[in-house]
Amino acid sequence: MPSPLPPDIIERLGRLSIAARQAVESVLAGAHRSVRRGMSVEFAGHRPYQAGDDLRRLDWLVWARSDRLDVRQYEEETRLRATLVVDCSGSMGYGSGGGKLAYARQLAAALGFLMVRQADAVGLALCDATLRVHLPPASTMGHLLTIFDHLEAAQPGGTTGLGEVLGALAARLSRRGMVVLISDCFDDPAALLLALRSLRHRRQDVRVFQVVDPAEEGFPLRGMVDCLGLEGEPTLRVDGDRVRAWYLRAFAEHHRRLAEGCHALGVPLAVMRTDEDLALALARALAGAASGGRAAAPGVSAARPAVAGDGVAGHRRRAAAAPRTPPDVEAGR
Amino acid sequence: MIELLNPALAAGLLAAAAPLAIHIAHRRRARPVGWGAMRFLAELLTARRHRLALERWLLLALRTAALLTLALALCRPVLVLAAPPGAALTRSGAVAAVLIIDDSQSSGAGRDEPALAAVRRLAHAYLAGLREGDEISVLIRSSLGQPAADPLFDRAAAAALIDAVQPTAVASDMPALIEAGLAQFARHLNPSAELVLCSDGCRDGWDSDDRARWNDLRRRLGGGARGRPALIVLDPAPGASAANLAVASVRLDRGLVPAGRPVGIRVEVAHYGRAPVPKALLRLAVDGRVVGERTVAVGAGGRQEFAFTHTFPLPGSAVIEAALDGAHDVLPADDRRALAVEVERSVPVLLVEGTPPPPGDPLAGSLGLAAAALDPGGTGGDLFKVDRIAPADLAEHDLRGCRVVVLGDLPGLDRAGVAAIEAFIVAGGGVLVAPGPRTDLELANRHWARGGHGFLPAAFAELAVPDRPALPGSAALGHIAFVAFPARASEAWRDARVFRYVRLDPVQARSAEVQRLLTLDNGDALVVERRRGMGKVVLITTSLDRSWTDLPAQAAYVPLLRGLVSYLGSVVLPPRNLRPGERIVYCPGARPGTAALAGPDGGALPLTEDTWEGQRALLSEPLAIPGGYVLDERSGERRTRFAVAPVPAESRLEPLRDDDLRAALGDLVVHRYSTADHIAAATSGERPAVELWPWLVVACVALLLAETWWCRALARAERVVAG
Repeated sequence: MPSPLPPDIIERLGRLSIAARQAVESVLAGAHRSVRRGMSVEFAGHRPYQAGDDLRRLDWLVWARSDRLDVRQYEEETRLRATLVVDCSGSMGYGSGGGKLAYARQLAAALGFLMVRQADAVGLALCDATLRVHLPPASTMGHLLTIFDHLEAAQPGGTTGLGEVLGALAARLSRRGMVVLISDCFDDPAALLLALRSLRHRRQDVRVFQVVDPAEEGFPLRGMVDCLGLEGEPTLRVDGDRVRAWYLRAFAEHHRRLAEGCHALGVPLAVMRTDEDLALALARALAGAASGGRAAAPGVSAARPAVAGDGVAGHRRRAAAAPRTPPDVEAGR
Repeated sequence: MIELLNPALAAGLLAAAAPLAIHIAHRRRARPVGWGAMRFLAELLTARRHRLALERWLLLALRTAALLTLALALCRPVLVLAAPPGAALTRSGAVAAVLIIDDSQSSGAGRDEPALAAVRRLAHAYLAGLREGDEISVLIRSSLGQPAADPLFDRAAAAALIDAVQPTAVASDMPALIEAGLAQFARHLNPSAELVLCSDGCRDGWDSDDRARWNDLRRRLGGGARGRPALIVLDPAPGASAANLAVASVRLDRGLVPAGRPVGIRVEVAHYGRAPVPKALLRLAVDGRVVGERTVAVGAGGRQEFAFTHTFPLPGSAVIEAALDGAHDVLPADDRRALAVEVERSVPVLLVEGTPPPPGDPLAGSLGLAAAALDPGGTGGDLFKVDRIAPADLAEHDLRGCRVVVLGDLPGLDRAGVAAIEAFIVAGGGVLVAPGPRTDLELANRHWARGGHGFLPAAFAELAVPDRPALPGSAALGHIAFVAFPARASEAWRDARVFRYVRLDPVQARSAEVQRLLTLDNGDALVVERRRGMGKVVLITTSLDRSWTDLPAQAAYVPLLRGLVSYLGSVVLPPRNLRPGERIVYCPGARPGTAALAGPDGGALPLTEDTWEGQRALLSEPLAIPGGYVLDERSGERRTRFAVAPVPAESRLEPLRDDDLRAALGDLVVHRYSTADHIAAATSGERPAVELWPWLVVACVALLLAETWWCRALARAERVVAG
């Protein structure tokens, strides 16, 4: 079985320029900001003195002005703890050359590699309708290789149940960190967004990478077709020419709801097409997040009604018009 | 009620199943494909299941309906509504009218105007009841046999055709007219077929006694590919019984006309009708020269025969014409009748005898007495020029120079001889056959009779040797062969005895083709006749010498034999006596050059070169005027006379009764009208029928446009969504 992270990808990720690496690191570093307030270089606010507080933290200027005893609070930089959640449901098996799951493996491996390389802890969760495998985050290379082993062994199957899985995972995440969801997101948008909201409430920084196959996006089927479900759904006989328009509209509507929901939750959503180069797509996705991807869902405005062109294809066009990918990354130099 | 004018195309309705079949085949060819994004397909199919099904079935319905309407339009459906009350003639849509007009001789009868004038008025009244779009064909009796024309839509043109019809001398033939009318319907397209018989009201020509012919016509009139045509008879109401004197027949008292000898000419005058006629004068003319006159006073319904005697001085062609002068009856056309005759100097007769005469005894031999009866002087100067040969010489003898061949007591004939005799008969020659002691009956049956296909009138059954001699009994005295015998002919051969004779096969002897001329007192046939081709064969069942009978010793022998031979030799070919509508045929033989033909009025008539029975011939146009015609060869060597005489039945003028129509047409519904008012009342009704095919074609086009528009709208919507 091929390595989840091919050598050329490793090489190209390794040759990321300083600027790109800083961009990556800054994004990743942004998640590093811990909400725990302690001894750090950045002032975060006051609270009333309680018996047992460190007297060195008393703010004498506040006592001088208001005759009140308050202590200072500071933001503390902590090491990132990320969990890569990879969807291994049956629908991830669609596509040629291993399908979307193969692409998701490479993506998860790349992210894991980047995190471990900058001494962050990374964990893994493989799921379909249930949580198959859960590796808590660790920052050692051996742990990374274990993650790679699990990724290599993962096979598509079962149904999709991201909402339940993320909900169960949230209960296991005791510490603040990052959750990176790599999935085709073919689930009920409301349930998925609810689960993402739950993660956000638990102070988890969430990233969503939606893996999309171009065929699923464009619906190239013509004539009478018996569509066999990859997750055990009943076979549907459709006239491809007749239902294409409706399918595209439903697909775009699904993506619009997902994008608007993620935008409202402050969850960056990146669409990764399986026919795109992984390194370029990853660098673009990360660069887009670093330039304010949290604030705006790519290519989607909540005030404008979703139209047929607002699907993934429309996002792709706007992403192309968005802040350009660093030239070094594009050249792979 | 909806009727289909082209029911044979109803099989095309099956084409409407094509869209459904294509739809089913298309759906069965669905290929399986694994698909990950099933939730989107499931959602849209759930949400749009009904709409997709509706679109699918609606498109299918549109396509099926388009094909269905087109196939139905090709079947030409007609919506037949209830006929308005009181309508006599029901018309289901546009009319296909075939008018057949009888312009026979009887249509010229009439005191003030010919009956055909009234027939024309009735036909015009019928035309007035037609509308634009109705098809009209006009067939005329005297023009039957000419190429048919396509129907007319122009009523004025049809009226002009009717106005041009004039009485002719042809004989009426309603069955032939109806057959031609039924055949003409094949050129029509309109749904409401009407066969209109425009008759002069006379029953002649209907031949209602010909059951077989009318049975076939009734079956065809009862329904065909175009359904049952309406039968309409237009004939003027019969007037008061009118008187009509007519020359019914002109005949001779013998078969052959000798030159230089008196010949008896008998003219029969008939008085048809009940009204009296004034006395008239009957004139007899030969080659235009009056040779006799008689005063005619025939009572109503009676007949009278007038006898004339004339001697033709020279051999050649002549015309005898009998004409009534001063009859003043309703049909002048039948007041004269012509008869063409060939005056003979001598008739070559070949005697083929089984036992030739010994030298110096001409009366001996199988046919010695017969030769003496025909040529008593033995010099050939009589009417008959006799040659006697043996059977072995027959094959080498040129029979074209003979008019009659007598076969007496032949043991047999070789194959070439039989073939020569049969060819001679078919070409118009006459053969007299008499068996004898040397005749092999079995051989004769095998080669001469051949089961009825040979020249013998009937096969020989057995040699009869009655215990007591048979006597000649009844005879067909009206036969021209017996013209020399008086009414009491039984006395003429009372003393004749037949000791031996050949009994004929009873089945063949009773055949309709075989006519008995003379019968023995025991009921067996003594003399029979049968026609073959253009010739005739007479069979005498006993010998012509005294070996089997003593008839040659009786006084009746000579007139009997001469009468039979005259009858057999009287065939003149090509025929000189014709019916109206027939053509003159003249064979100049080896003589070169052309000829000129003059009609009864002296006017020149055209001749065309053609062939007749393999010979070069000159043919005239179909002749319509009765009377004598003269054909002169340009070289002046020969003058030939012809006669055209009408059918005597046309003179009867008996009105057509309803019983006659029922006898002919059976239970078929016949609309009979005698006045223009009746016709107008019957044909002025509404036509409660509508042809639906135009609407179906429009519907088909509309369905196809709707299907095209919808498919384009769906494609446009898909492009908008995809774009």
